Amino acid sequence: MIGYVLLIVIAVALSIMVFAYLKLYLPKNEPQCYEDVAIALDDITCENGRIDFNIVNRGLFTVDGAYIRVGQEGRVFKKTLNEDSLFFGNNVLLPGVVWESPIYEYPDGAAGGNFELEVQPIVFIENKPALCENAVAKQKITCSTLQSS
Amino acid sequence: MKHNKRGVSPIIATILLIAIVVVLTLIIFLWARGFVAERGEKFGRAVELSCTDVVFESGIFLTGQDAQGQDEYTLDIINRGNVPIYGLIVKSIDRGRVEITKEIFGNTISIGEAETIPLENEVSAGEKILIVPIILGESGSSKASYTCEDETGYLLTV
Repeated sequence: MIGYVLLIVIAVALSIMVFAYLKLYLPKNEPQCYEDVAIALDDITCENGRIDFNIVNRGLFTVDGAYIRVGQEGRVFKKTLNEDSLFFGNNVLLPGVVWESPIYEYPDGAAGGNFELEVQPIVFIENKPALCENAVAKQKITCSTLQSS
Repeated sequence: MKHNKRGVSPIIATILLIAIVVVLTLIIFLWARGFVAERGEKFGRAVELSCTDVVFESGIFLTGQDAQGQDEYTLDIINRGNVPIYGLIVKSIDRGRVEITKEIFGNTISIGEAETIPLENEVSAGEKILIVPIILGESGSSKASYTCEDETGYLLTV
């Protein structure tokens, strides 16, 4: 009798411990961007420290938002232009649709020079935003300074 | 010689044994639970598993020279993944030698965020450096930082 009690208690205790330990190592479905998300940049204008462009959704999924960054050519650090408005709101970017950006102020480009514009899409998966690290659209741009007459 | 053959009754002995087993099991369980809880968690799983989800791009940029004529660099980082980076460790890698050059804590680079970190005389031209991310996990009720493995780092040449 004692033998049974001992065996059952030890088995239950061990099972609980193994379950708690393994639960930590089981893969969980964290939000991950879909593979077929793709965007392209088009019609970019950079003049007098102002940038505007179009984003074309060339993928198979709706894009909900994007990090729009610009920085010196050849440099990793880039300034985020749309920190306050990362998402497109109700006007999500459907496949094949073109989004016309507002005019962003970029004072560093006012003096002209070569820069790089990049857009990293964000999609909502199970109501959680997921950044698409493999779908970053990059474009080298030359900012010009127009002399006012 | 007279022997006293009386002992505890079988019922008492059984109860005693069960009590001892239960108490021992409880002690082992509490000890083991403490061991499991001490392992950091992030997003409901072991913190080290989140390290594989850290995606960042890094670069080194020459900003100028100091008063002594030494080159000054900045470290550029963009967090492109879905895990915030709590800090960074900059390791200098040379033949047969790995040395921690700089530790940057508490300067969280949120998802999608870009940062530039000055490296004052801490690196020199031609040097190979490895940028290793630190992420923040939970250990019980408190937060604990976890330094990821070197394999998740970003190798740069100054």
